[in-house]
Amino acid sequence: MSKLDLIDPAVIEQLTAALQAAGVDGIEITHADQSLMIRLANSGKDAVRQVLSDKMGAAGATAFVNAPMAGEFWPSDPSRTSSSGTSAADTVGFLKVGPILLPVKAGPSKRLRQHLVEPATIVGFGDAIAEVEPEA
Amino acid sequence: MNASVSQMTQPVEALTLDRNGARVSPIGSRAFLIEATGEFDLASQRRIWALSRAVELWSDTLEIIPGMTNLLVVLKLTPEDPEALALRLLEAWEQAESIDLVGRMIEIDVTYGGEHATDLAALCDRSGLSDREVVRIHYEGTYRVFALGSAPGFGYLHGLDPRIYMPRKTVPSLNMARGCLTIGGMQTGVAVLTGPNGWNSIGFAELQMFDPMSATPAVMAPGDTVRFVPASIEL
Amino acid sequence: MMEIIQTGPFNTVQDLGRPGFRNIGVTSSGAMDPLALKVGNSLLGNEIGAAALEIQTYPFKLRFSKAAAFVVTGADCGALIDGRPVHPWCALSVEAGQILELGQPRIGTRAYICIAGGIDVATVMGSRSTSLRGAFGGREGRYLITGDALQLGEVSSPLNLPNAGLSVVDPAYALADVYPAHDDGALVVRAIPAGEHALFGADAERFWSQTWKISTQSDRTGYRLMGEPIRPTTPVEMRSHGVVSGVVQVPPSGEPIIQMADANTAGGYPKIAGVIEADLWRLGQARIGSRLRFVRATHAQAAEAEKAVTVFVEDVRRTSRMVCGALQAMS
Repeated sequence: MSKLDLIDPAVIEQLTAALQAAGVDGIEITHADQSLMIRLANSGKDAVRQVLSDKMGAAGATAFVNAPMAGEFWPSDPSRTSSSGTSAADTVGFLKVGPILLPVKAGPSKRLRQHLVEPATIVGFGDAIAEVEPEA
Repeated sequence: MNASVSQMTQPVEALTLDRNGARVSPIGSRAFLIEATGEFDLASQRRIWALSRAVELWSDTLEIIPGMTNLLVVLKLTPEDPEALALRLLEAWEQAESIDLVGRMIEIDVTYGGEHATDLAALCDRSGLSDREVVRIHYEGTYRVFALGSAPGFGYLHGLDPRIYMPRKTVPSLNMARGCLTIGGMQTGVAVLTGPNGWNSIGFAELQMFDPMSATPAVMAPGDTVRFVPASIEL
Repeated sequence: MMEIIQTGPFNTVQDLGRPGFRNIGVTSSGAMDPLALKVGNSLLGNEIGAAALEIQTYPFKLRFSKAAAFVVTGADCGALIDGRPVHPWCALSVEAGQILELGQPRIGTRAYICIAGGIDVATVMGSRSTSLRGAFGGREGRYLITGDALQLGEVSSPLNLPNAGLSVVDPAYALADVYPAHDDGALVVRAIPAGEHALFGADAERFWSQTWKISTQSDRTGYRLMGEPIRPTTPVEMRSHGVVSGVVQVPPSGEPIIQMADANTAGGYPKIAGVIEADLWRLGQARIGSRLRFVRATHAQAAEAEKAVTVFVEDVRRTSRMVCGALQAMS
């Protein structure tokens, strides 16, 4: 693991540039006792940067859940009706890779605020797929 | 799936091939039964044994189950062309020479009569023989194991004297003990499990016929010769 | 290791069975829903036929005595880990002391608890399956009881399961094109006419056209069907022959019996049909009291369905390994 200091402005600057170059909308990194979220409201020239960087547990803040790998995003298991199979409450959706469904979690003490992509959208590694907020 | 539903309206015919004293029919998608259509005798069974040996060596065979003048072949995969498979079986049947399995001689100590001989009286009534005669006729016989089946290690024995043939019961005994010496129609055998049993019990044998932990779990094998020794007669 | 805390009767250790011993009278046994067992094992990186627990009476509860990975496949019975819901068919890692609980199934009837490394009971005649009739295999040849402690096998090439777990689409959804849809609520089972089919004359048509009900006298040995009786035109006296699961026999009562995983090894009732291999798992999940209908299939259709199922299981195996590998590389 790297020894990045996630509250170092230089590091944030570097990451933002990398995201812009990659055409990615945002990133969330949690590492040791730090967390960093960068969200680019519009990719491209007029990029508006929203940075939340703090020690863990920044109360009241929304956060993003990013795709842990490439796959087809489904907010719920597409193969099962909602009446069958209760998903764990903190699951924000699934990445479908072939027959495999990778559950994506809101994170500790977080709950889903909104999905950021439509069902069946192909997402890439690191793409923001949901916005979560602290549990009430 | 629409295709399979539309077939419902067509006449349903079984794929069955009957040729040169043998008949092949499928059981499900991966099993095929070949039956000798001739007499129920040792000659037919010897040819089934020969056929079993040949088919066992086929690379697509998962399992062979010789029965009474028949053989069930279970394949590893469902064949796309069942007719070719049926023809291959019939060809093997035609080529099957009669073989006699060189089995072991198994002697089984039996208590004839006694508490387990629940059907001896009925057999006497039916045959018109005394219990002594029934017992003597049974232990003087020499039997061949035709096949194993039904329960672990159970041997179907051929060679019963027609005088003591006894049809299976219409109402089975609910809890016949393992070890009961039984007669079912023209066959005899020793019960290997305690439980419901439609055969007629005339005695009891202590011999354990099956040990799952042994390299050869079943005591009997097709081709074995069996003799029953009257260790005691309780009439 | 894990310990059974609560169980009903009839729950056993099963793998893919013990083929090869019917010729000495030994039932094949094995999972009633072999597809659920194969998918569960594939998801965990196990050998495809590793032994699992087949649960058919509920509630069922067990405690993991050491860290493990598990998945519940087959019937959807609202699995809980320490009281929290687990997504159906989702493999998870657990810590020592965690409790897995299964309730009454909402869909299907038999659930499979597969464990990374498999259930390590002694192999008897090539299999860990419980042979209830023979009273050997599995856990001392009997049903599981409260207090049973089961050893887990070693994992030869473990998967590094993600913390959120790893799930798989319902095979019924993935294979929807391969299987006939339910017909007016009745399970549609494909079968091939068997040796005595022609002897049933006009009754044979009624075998295919009517909807049968699975009677309460149904278990791992066989399903007795209820409906309008069918009979051969003349009585037949059969010589005993080998049978396999899926065979549909017609006893004198005229109501068919489908032999299942614990099928007798030999039989003499006239047989009207045999269920194709690829459809047996669906029967294994059919409930007592539910209805089914038979449709005729050809061997070519059966082979095609069998192939599709094999490809699906292989896809699960390959993709789960790939996903776990990719996540690990990116972490």
